[in-house]
Amino acid sequence: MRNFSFLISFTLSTFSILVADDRSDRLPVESDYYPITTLSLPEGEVIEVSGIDILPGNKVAISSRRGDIFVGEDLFGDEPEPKWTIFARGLHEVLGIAWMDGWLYVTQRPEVTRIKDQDGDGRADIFETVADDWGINGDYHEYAFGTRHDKNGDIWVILCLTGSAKADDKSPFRGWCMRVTPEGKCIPTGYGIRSPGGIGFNHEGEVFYCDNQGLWNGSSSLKHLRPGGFQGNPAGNKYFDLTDVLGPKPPEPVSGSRIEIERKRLPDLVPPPVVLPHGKVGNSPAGIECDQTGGKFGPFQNQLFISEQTHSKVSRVFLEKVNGFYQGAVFPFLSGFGSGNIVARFGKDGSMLTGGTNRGWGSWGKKAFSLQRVNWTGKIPFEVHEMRVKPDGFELSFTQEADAKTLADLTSYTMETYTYIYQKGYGSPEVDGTVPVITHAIPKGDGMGVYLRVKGMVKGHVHELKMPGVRRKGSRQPLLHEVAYYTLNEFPLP
Amino acid sequence: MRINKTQNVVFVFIYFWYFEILSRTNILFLSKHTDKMNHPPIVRLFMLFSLLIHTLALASPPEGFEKVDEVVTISTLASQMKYDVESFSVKPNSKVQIIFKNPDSLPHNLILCTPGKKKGGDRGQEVMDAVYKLGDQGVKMNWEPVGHPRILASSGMVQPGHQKIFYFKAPRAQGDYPYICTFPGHYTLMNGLMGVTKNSNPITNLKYKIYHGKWKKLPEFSSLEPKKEGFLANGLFDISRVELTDHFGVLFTGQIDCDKDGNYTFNISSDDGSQLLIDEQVVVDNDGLHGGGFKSGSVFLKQGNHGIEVRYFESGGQEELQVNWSGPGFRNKPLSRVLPKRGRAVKSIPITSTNGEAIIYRNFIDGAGPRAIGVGYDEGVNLAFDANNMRLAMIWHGDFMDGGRHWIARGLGFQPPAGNDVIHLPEGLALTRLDTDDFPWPAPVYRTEDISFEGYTLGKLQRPTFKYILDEVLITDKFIPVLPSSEGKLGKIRRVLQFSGDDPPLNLYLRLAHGGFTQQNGTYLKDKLMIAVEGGEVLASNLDLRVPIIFKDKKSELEIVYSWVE
Repeated sequence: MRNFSFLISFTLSTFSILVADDRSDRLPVESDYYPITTLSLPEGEVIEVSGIDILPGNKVAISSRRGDIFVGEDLFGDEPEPKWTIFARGLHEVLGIAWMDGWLYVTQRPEVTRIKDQDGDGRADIFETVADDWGINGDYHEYAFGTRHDKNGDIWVILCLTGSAKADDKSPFRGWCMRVTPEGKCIPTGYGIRSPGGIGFNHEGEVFYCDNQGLWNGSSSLKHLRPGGFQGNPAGNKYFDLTDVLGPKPPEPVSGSRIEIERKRLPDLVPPPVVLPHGKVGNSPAGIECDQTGGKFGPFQNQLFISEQTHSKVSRVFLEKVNGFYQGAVFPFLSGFGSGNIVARFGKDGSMLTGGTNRGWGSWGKKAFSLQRVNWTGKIPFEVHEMRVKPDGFELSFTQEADAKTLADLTSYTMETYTYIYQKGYGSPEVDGTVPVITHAIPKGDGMGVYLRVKGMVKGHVHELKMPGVRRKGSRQPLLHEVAYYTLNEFPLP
Repeated sequence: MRINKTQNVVFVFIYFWYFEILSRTNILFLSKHTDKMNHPPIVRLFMLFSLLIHTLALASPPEGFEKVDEVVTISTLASQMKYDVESFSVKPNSKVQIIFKNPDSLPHNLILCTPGKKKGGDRGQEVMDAVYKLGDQGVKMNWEPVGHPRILASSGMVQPGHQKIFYFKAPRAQGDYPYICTFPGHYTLMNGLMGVTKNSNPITNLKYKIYHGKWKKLPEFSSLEPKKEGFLANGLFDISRVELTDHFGVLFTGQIDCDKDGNYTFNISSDDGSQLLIDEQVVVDNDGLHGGGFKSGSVFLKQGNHGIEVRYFESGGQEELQVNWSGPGFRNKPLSRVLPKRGRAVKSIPITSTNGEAIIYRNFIDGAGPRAIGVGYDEGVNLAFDANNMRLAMIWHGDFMDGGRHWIARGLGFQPPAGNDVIHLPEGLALTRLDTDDFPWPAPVYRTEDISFEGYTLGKLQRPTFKYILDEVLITDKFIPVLPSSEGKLGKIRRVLQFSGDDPPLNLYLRLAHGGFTQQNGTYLKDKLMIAVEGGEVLASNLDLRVPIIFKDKKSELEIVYSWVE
């Protein structure tokens, strides 16, 4: 009996290998479309890149966690040989830089500072505190991330909780978003933040940030900083005692509930527009950069690119607005970066500069720090372009024409849904799982899209769609990334 | 724990071989772009077949397992939702027989999992997630997600009062392999760790508890609340799980398996103190503040399991814990994980000025607060400014700062100055309004709301001039290092304070120092600090050294020289 089972297993596995070999012709890979180039940094310096901005003259400023700022030239050529000069040293863990009107605005732990080279020797000599209406107590987790200037000239600052869990009396406004006006006014603009990894704008100038899985945050997510909005972690609610800008102190959420349930009780609670399923999309989402290159970076104009520290990746997000709320899907985009991705910034040529560090939290990329550049080769990858929700399903568009037969084949797809426990404890497993049924798959005439009619969509759940069967027209080529995670907070009206 | 008798085998399946083949085929079938397994029908058929075979009991050990390297007996504990063995270790590639007994009144299984990718392990969470995804199929599948790539071996579901024996070959890769009961609801309590380690160790159920605190000798751990606890599956005493490098203690408890009756000697070297106990009796006492160095103790032990406990604490500086033992037929076998010598210690990253320039370090500086601005001058003098209270917080000479604490790992805590003769200036506000000359100075607050920090400008040599505003009075606070007058002497720090405001207050005071001063030729001395003031009258009041700020034409200027008593 035993020998018989070996024989069967062996035969079957051998057969399997043969079947596998049959489909072994080389399929396209990410780097066919988006190669990554490592940019050299000044020798002897440790530059854990934490902020990038483009300066006049196509120069690039980068900030580091050690608090230094360097300015580089010649980062964008085919064989870049950047030349670096030191601009400033010794700032306090800079997590956001922005150039405006001759000043570099720097978000460091205790303040937003603007700095300038007055005497023209290439090094900053004026350091002006713009705003510092929040506190720090010496806990390393009390990070402050800042944006570039928004359309009003404001910088949005988000403040990590003390130890990523608490809100110390000595360090007010932990877990809050502060808007810093050009006049240096600091306006409390939102609350409920846990442990952000980065912040940025979409093409409409709305502000989003990434919050990491933890207390009151079942999975890492992309969140929308709606003014007055509550992002889910009530630890910082105590600071309502210090300001009445956002009204009276709101009630606290119930631990063990679901976001979908609690948002009915807590009108300020903004459901995360896009959950970045923990462990699948990444473990530590960080900076957000919107593609406004006008096609220089490929077919993803106005979509968001999310840096991911642990997985050393960049993910792609499509957002739509349904019933007044942003929601959408995240797709894998590009992996294999050198260190833990923290920030990305598009250059004028449409290439994407990325920077990272793996200090304190490891990363798949083994370099301690890196500055890299992603260029689009001009070849269009076969990808889902947009995923939109409909009253009874999802509408997908593709970057290239798909094979209509595989599009229409229901076995080309699988879908499952799940959500997370909204709880005081750390994170959550995927819970309340369901398997909706895709009843119809109706290709759009030209194969550039498909309409999936779905029975059993669940409000408040991530809808994980896999499309292993979809092929490019006239080819056996599957999608470059066959998975999408759509967060369904709102159903559109029929 | 380890039994050398042959057991009657009631159930056998060579999981290891089976899963190896399965995973190989899976690799070929896994699309590059899928995150999870998506078996083609042929593999599903194969899995079904294997399942069928696996449910048929075979009567003898599988081929190659007639002789095994390790026999481990694990039993459930009745009504406790626990395994009696929560950690054990085996050698890589060893042939292992597990005797799994279930005297409990509920069915249980024991599924050994691979460590997974998550840093620090996930205790088999991924397998458990897969169990929950079985949904309606769960009962039929006996709550076992057969074919899951992380399953290394399984007992199958064992009914109350039954036992199962199964075999597997230990993986080659060293690490912690979790084992769990996948019956829904059991997992969080019923789990353990199998350590795969080159030196399979005699200690099982080795538990550690980490405590924080400052001690000069071992504290009574049982009266303290541990900050962190867990199992060390490889059976080795190990202090690398501690995140602090100073002021912590660790209590280890476990069972040690003696092969024979005989005399056993335990040796322990620790920095700082430690004790080793067998069956609750102290065998080696190595307590107190000291560096490494072995101490030994002997005890007669009978064959079988004995309780072992190691108590350890670290005060400051280097830390180390090494334990080994000798017994009948062996000498100095290690019982602790040998760490690279202080590999994880905070490495030193000296921050130094160069080219005659000053260097700035804004960070958490011990003595100057979380919003400190350290300035190191090439002239060999240094200072730290507290931007929460707009005060000169410290001066020192020699080395400036060490960046190791904040620039390695996450950057925990406050770093003191690196140099010598650190002089701490009074806490709290340095500048305030007082009703009278001798009015008590306001008590320090964490951060002042009276003065706002405006930043600084840097001169050619990167020397900062700080700016702050109090009641619409702009204060510029400039520090200039002064070279030593001759070789072998120390430098000085000259400070120029300028005040300007349209409507300056009449009762503004600067406090330079606090405590018992002596005056000598226009300078004030306290311990190592020497202060000289120009452009202002110095008042000694309430043990303070105060200077009233007198405005002329809406301006005032004051010069202070700080130096060390040599």
